[in-house]
Amino acid sequence: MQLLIQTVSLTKLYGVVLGLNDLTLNLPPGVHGLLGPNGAGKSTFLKLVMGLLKPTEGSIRVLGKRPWDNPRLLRLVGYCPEHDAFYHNLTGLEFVTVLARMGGFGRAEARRRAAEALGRVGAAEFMNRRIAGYSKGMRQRTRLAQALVHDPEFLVLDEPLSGLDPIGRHEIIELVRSLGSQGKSVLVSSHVLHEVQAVTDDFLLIYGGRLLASGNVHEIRSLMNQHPHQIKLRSAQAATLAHHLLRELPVTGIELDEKLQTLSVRTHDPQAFYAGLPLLVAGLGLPIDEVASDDDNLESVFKYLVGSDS
Amino acid sequence: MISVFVLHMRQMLADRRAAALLLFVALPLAVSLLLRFASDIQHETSREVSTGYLFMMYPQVMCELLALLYGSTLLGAELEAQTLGYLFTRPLARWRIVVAKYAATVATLIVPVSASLYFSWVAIGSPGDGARLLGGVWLGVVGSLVVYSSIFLLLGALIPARAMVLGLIYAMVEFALSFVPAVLNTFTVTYHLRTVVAHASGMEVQAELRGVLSGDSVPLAVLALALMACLGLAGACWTVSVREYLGTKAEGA
Repeated sequence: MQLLIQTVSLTKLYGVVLGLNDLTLNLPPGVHGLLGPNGAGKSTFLKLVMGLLKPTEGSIRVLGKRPWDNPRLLRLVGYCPEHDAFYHNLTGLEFVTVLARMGGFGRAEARRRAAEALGRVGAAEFMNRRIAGYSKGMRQRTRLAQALVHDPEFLVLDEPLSGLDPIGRHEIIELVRSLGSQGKSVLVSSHVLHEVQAVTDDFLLIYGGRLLASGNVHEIRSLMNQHPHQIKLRSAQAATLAHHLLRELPVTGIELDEKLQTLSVRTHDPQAFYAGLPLLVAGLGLPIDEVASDDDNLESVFKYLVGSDS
Repeated sequence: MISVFVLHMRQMLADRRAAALLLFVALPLAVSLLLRFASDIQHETSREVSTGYLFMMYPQVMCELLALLYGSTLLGAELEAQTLGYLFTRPLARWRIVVAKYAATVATLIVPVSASLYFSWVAIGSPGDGARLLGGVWLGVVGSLVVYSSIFLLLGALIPARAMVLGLIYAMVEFALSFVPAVLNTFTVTYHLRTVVAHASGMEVQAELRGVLSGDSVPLAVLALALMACLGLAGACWTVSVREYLGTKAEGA
């Protein structure tokens, strides 16, 4: 199977500043999220994928090809940059058409494709107006359209949902999902966790220029079993409960907030903890008002991994 | 490549940039009109003085300044507007993008400058044998735009942030060097431009002018200019093909 992206010890330095550090990755085709806070190295990675940057160390292959100044690869890839940049004197239709023409399409075909792509992202209504008068959401949709116009095999979307209203977000999420179901590969970057989770379960976590984790959210969960999980409990007898938890369950630490009557419990073995907790509270007759652990949620995975490695 | 050419031309002619270009080409025309109405100089001006005046106004000053203005910012303007990423992620080799933008720059500048030159020539009394003088200076206009644009393009590719200032320094140093006799002046664009314009316009080259222009034929001078243009353009293409322009840490990693 042709890998979507293959990197070996990929490192990017900006002078002495580290952009990306020793990233080794074999990413199969499919829809993937690239997740990390601002400045984590997401855009650096995407620019390396698109051949806009050269690796300082290591190597990168996209669809089996070297990306730097490689027109053959660029025929297969569409890129939606994060920057809100345009030729403002053009209309949306002219902008997407001229970029389609650079992809080798004739005038009429380029215009037809541009109108179609703008329609797909919900920009048909305003595509004949000059970009200078567009709102942020309109510009974002137009940026997406230019990435789609040549019907690429692989789409690289850098923060594609930023600037969109909730309806726009929903439409673009649906669009990315439909591209995935059509067999297209997509790499979507975001620093907003639920955005990525809405698109895919497969993701790369990047932080401080390093790849923290990659895979399915559940695979990450098993990786996390080597590390303490955090579980929140609320009980009217929080102090007594804390005492028994420390003695009888696999707990590595507890923070007690007597005012709020909450416990924050850390455990290396969440399965054993969850199995033992009902027996413990039933045996002691302790009341528990709330147990909260959102370990299946991507956000908790992200917070945990970022927190532990930063 | 044609789409890059057309896009670049449209950007050059957009809004304020077009107004700036028109203002620029109108300036020497205004000077020529002033000369016409302020005196009857046109009746007494020799071919040499007319050629010298038009050469100085057009190939030497205006064309070089326009080439500096548009050639040195050819990549820098796209970088500043953050639109270069759109071009570099299309299935086009980078050198093709550079060549198309360069060609669009020269083509866009030649038309208004040629028109301005023609009207200036008329304004000063249409000197010379028919259109020979005009043709000679026009060759200088074309040569100046073609060669200087490629040189300033190369400067812009090498040092986008400082290209304009460095280009201005280069223009002044090059102008001074063009008067240095022996071998040094033959490496300057101005020296060969003077040669082309003087010979093509039918000017009688006096012995005292031998230090500032060549006695060579026009084809040889044109060949020298073509070589300089090719070197500048090839250097720019190579630089853009190997150099990173996007994704500085300041842009946000």
